[in-house]
Amino acid sequence: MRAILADARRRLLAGAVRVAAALGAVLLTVVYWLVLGPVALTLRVLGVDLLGVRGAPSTAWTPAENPDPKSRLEGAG
Amino acid sequence: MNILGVSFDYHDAAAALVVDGVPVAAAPEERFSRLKHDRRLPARSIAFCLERAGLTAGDLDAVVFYEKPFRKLTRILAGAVSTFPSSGALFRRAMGAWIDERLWVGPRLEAALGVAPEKILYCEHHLSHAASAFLCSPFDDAATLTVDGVGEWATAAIGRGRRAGPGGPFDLSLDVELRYPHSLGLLYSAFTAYLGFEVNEGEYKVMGLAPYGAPRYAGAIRAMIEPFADGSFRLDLGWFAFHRDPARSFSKKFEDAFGPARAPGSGDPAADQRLCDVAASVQLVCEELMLGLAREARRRTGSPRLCLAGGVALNAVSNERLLREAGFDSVWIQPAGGDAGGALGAALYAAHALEKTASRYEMKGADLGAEHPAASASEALKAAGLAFVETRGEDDLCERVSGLLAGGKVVGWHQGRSEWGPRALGQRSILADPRAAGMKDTVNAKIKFRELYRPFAPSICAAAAADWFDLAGPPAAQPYRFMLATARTREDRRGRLAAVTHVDGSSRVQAVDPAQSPLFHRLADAMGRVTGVPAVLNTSFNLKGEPIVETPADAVATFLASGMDALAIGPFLATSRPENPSPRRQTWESSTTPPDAWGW
Ligand SMILES: [Fe+2]
Repeated sequence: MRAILADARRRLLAGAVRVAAALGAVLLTVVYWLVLGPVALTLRVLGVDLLGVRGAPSTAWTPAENPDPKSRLEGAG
Repeated sequence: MNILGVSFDYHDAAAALVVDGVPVAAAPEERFSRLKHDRRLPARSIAFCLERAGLTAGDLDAVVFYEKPFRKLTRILAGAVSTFPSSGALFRRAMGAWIDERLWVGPRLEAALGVAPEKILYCEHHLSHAASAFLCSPFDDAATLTVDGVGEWATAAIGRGRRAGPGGPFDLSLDVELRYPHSLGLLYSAFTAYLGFEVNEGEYKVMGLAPYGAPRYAGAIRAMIEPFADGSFRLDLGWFAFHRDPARSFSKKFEDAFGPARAPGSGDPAADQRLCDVAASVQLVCEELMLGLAREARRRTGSPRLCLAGGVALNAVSNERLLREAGFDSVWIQPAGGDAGGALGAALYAAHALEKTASRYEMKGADLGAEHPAASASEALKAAGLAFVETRGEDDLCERVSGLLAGGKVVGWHQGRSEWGPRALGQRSILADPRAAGMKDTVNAKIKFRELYRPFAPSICAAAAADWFDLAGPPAAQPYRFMLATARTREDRRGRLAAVTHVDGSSRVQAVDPAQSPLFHRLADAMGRVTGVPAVLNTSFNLKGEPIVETPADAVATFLASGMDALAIGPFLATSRPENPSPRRQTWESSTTPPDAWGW
């Protein structure tokens, strides 16, 4: 009996994970088209080059920032 | 101060523990979990590091993650926005991974270790790489160059380090960086995928395949790159797909130019001249770009000393050219050049940033991993039903093993603490006689079950290395000590090093230092007395697709699953195998997680 219950629980959990993954994919698709899409189009119209595809004509180096050693370790961003 | 550095969530998770500025333990998670390129939070590696130092998590003053995750997220979002509407699948997959785990690095570390949130710090990805090289080098003032696929935004960085011992000034700063998507590592990885190899694993295979080809596509590859006089470059994204597609790294235009991509696992790539030529071409362009970056590091910093790290710093062929042609007097390369090394770099950087009295450290050997008592070795051998003898000291062990090797036997060699970095340097090695060409095929086919074209490396007594190889520097130089650069086998000696000389006459030499690796040096020396060649063929103690063995039990299991003839673990030597070995070897899982090699 315990084995049957455990198996049912495992199947239920696996099903829930699949449903959550599908829902997540749908949600992310909605975000992609309704949030990222307008942002992308606006930036494109404004000519913003986030990936540096059209950078300076003579170098691709970007100066690095160097805060003081202690504070540079703070924060995940 | 006790500082733990960790890297995880991408590939090769690792932990490193630094006490008062000195690393006391470091290991990748895969050695313990037995999952190749394990990327999960390295709980086992952390436990090992703490145990080795006799500490608990409560004794840690800081836990340092090897990159800034939120900064990385801005790059991924910028990439998705810039390539809209073709980045939908990449966005879904990347965000799924971020929501599941990558956003929560801090809370996950707090939960795993029970440390307070303020103890969790974050060191930028390329700063971690730079620190892993500079703060392990013998230099007090040097240029740093870090080159990989991508960290947060940076794909390469030039910097400078200065230190003056405990209490003295310390500075490690990055001067300039190349930014995503303009990346030498991603360029090389795109070709790795095109050639049908697993990204972040198969780059060595591309490097090994290159000598079979001619670089007739180098011009076509150069056309994908806009180079500048200062060594920097931009990629023409029309050739690639890694910035918009989670499953593809190169575009249709790429295949139109080079022909159809090789399906993973299909046929022998060395038998297809076109694939060999593509490999030769991307290797040549990689060397040219690395030289450009290194020369710029020399010019910008004025320093004659270079510290090198990042995944591309593991390209031994490019490193040889860098040693010869970039204009530096001395070069030090972090043996764990990939992201596992970031764990050590992050901890070392924090040690110097937080503590004025951090000791000056120089990494002379790579033995930072776990060590296992002789009792566990004899237990593992007994449990498997293997007959073995206990040798009478190191001389006896080396005499017996060199005799076996000279007689054409292949020997598993498990000694001391395991190596830091992907190279086996004589602690977890499979050894054979380097003289006869046929030994290469034997070890590839019967022992490691891997592609026949792949070369093997020699480990040679450092004092004799220059007699046998045309080294790009003194034999004791660190890149050769850690097997990080190739050298030509001297032409008149190639016949006696046939198993370890590649088709183009090159060899990835390890110059074994008697002070750092006394036992392994003694073995190479014993080989010299028996065969006249003071060297062994040395390859990592693992089978294809598996992590290097860690424990004696791992070594025994791998021995039983392969065609090795003998096994030396600590003082014990087994020279036969049982008819029905027990326990039967478990088949270790290989990584089944989808590759996220493109840094999202
Ligand atoms: Fe990296």
